[in-house]
Amino acid sequence: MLELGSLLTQFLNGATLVSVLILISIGLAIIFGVMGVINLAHGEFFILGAYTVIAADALGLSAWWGIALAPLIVGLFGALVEVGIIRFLYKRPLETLLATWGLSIVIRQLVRIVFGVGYRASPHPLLGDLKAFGFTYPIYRVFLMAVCLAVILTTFYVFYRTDFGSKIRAITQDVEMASALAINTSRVYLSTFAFGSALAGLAGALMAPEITISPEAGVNFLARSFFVVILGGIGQLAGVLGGALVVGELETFLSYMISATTAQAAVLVIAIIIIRFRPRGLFG
Amino acid sequence: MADTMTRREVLKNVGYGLGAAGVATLGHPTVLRAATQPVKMGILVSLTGVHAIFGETMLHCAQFAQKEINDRGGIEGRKLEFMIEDDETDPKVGIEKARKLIKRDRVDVIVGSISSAMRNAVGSVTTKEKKVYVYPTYYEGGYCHEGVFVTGAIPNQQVERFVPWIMENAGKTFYIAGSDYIWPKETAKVVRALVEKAGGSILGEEYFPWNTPDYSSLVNRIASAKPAVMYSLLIGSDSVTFLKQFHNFGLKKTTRICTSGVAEKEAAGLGEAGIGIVSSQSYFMSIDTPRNKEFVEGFRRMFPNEKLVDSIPEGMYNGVHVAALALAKAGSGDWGKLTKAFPGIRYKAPQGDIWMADNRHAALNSIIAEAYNEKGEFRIIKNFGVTPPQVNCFQ
Amino acid sequence: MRSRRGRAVLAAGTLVALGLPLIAGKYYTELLSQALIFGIFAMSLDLMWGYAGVLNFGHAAYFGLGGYLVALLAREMRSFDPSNLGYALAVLVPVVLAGALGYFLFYSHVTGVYFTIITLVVTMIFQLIVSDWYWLGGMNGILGVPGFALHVWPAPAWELDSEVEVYYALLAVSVLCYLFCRYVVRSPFGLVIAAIKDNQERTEFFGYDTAYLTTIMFMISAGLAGLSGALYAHFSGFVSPPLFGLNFSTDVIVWVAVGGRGTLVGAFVGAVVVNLLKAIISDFFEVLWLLIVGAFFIVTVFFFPDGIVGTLRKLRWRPAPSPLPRPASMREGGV
Repeated sequence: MLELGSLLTQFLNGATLVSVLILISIGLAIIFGVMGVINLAHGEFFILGAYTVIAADALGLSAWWGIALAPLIVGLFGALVEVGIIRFLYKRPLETLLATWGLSIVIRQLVRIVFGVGYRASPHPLLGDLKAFGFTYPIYRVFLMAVCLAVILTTFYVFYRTDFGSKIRAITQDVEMASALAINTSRVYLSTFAFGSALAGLAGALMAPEITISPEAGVNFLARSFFVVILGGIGQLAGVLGGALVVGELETFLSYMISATTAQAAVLVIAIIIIRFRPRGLFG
Repeated sequence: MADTMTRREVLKNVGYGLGAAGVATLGHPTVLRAATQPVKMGILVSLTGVHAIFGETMLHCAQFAQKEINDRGGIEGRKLEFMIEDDETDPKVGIEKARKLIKRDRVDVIVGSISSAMRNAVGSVTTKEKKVYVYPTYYEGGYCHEGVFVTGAIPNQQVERFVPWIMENAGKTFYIAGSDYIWPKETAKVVRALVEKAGGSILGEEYFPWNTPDYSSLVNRIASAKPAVMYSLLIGSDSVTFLKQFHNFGLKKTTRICTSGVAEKEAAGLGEAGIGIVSSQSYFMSIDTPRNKEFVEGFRRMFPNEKLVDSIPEGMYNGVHVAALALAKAGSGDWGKLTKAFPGIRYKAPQGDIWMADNRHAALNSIIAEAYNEKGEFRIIKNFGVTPPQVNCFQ
Repeated sequence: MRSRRGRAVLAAGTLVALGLPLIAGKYYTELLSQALIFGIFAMSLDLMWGYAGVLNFGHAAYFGLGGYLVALLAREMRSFDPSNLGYALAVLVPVVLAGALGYFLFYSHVTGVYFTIITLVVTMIFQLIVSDWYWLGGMNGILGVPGFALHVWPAPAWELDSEVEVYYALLAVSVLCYLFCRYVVRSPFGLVIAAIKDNQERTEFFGYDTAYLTTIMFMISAGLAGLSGALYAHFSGFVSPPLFGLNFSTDVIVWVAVGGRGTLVGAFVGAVVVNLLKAIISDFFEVLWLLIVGAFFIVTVFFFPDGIVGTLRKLRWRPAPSPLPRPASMREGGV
């Protein structure tokens, strides 16, 4: 069973899972790292992205339109949430927890009212295999990995090479000092939250052909993304990569050898041990 | 002044207390119930939570059955009234609501529930309080508690005729994957026994915890094993995720997907990835009989937004009708009389004729169908007719 | 309680609590009994969160442990009635687990949000294991847990059959638990814990072993949660994996937040209010009720920022002593 082709496929499977985890978690990491806000509605932003694709399909547009529009629409929605709710709760993490939990419930029910309670599907945008040297692998998964790479590069660029990015980093280090230096902290927070939400929406739209789309589907990804972010280290972008690598590759690798349930439990236990010995996360 | 303030405060607080008590009293049955004596049935389904997908349609099917019953004069002239409760896909809440239906609303029968955990939870209440409970969802069999009647299929009904057909038409090598709990495992036992007896082989058998988001390793293992048949016992959103990914990897070209856990609603969530899946259930919406057409059209007229009805809501519909027939036969909601009234009840269901066997389960149809479009619609391949339920009580 | 208002409210509250089952009918009495059990559970979370300042995102794990231990004992030991043993184990095992976790974590200075996430992971592990293991009932859970019975040896067991009997018994237990928690919180131990919450470093400099003390509080919190789980098992007769779940853990956090963190009574109020609210609203809006409840949580944040009890205390009584500034975000270790 351990022939080269199968092993390579397994590695690519792990890599895809890692990419997916990164896409899902990076928005959360940014929001949490910069604003200290735990957004319990993050899973719902993710699934809203998938629903954008459904909506595009219902309007007769191709899935690519959905993927392109998702970050815009979900980002805009995130901006509204920031202005309407999060803004008032900056220094109150407990209240943010409660408010975003309430928000996640509200979003789920609204999605249900608009789209109905059943599972939805839309045509796959890119079906088919990539063939090389007798080895085949679904092209869409390779595409996902490419997009993930692009997102990582873009995010790093924004954070470390742009003016906006230096403002974010200043605020992350010391928000009072930053605002004393005339940085418009509320505007930066607004943009950050919108950016993080947009990334979640993009992830959802990209994942739409590969997952179940229902109003309740968002909650699954919430726990995993928190996991990845904490494991990797809060406030470190590289941390998300590390966390996703550990969770993704480890789970894929283990589940190839032992039962899936045991593999998932093992990953959780290993995560506890990692956090215990590297409390600031792998890269903290 | 201090004294008046305190007295006023005390009065205000006592007032709050009395007000709360007043609200509680308003909920008391004697104040709410009207003078006529309708027959009260409790409908306990998942209207929120993960199973709301089925729960909503189950409720609508029940309400359609209620309308039909009342249009024909009710149960022995008495109107059928529903008390509807949401179990929130949480057995904790199921227990609470079952108690509410029995103690506050004084229902005679409770109909509903999807998961086995929910059935166990609600059943523990109804058996203790001596109220009849009708469970309409297909499950692993083996639940034999007094007063609990099942109108959903059990493994022998889903699998006994299905596996020989698969081996004749798709192949003799199987790979089984399911969600990690008792229904898939019990069904897998039956499948394995049938396959091996007929000279086939099971190349692999795996179970996955709920909400696994990525099945690519499983797909990879299936690709290596190259079975003729992939028997999927995954449930709900896990089955949709897996089957989507299976399709995206292109494996449907070499391996046939057969399942007893996928029907119209899951297929709708699969879209084009669902085409070609062969499923075994006791009911499919596309059954071509006048009775079924009457059911589907009447149902859609009453609930225009409902596009798909599959075996769970149909089981609910049958459950309400069967319960109504039993209530009429017993002449009252009395536990002793009612529990004796169920066995032998025959009903002309949308799936065909069904009847309640002595073991508290229903003799249901075994039907095989294939999904043929991206809207989740199935085309009937073969209808084996009614299969009696074989129950080994182990729960 | 020093103020006359306070005593008046206490008197009225006692009257209502004692008299309610006489007018409320069987179902509402039972609903209130359940709310009491959940109230004890919420109080146990408040000990850690409101007083020690550490958020446990997987508190349901201890509740589930307590419940399952009782259910397993009931299933395995049919010859003699094990309920006292059940309660004892339901408290002890979570205490030991919390002790082990505390030793593993607090002693390595893993606190704040990292601790929170690990507790989340622990509860996920429990749910995975229990769902998978057939002997533990799997997804189907364990049936047939007997109801409440009072054992005072050598008298024969007195079974509590009616809803009213169960209610009064649970009311008594709740009051005892509340008094116990109040004692803990106001004891010298509790004061040091409050100091740790305000500023852990400073408390360390005074010579206190903060890791040890926080672990003790964690163990108390877990034990109480286990007790409430055991009570729930007897109350409902059935246990299943969602009792360990993330949803239930989040629910109890919401109850404490709505009622008022750090007030003990608030935990009870939150548990009662939220559950009652759900029951009443779902009566009127069978499907939309969840949307209303979600909106209610958001609204609570704006109108009752310190929870219901917290806000009421600020408005009606003399203002509470001004709290020392809390760390700005969870990132820095405080919530």
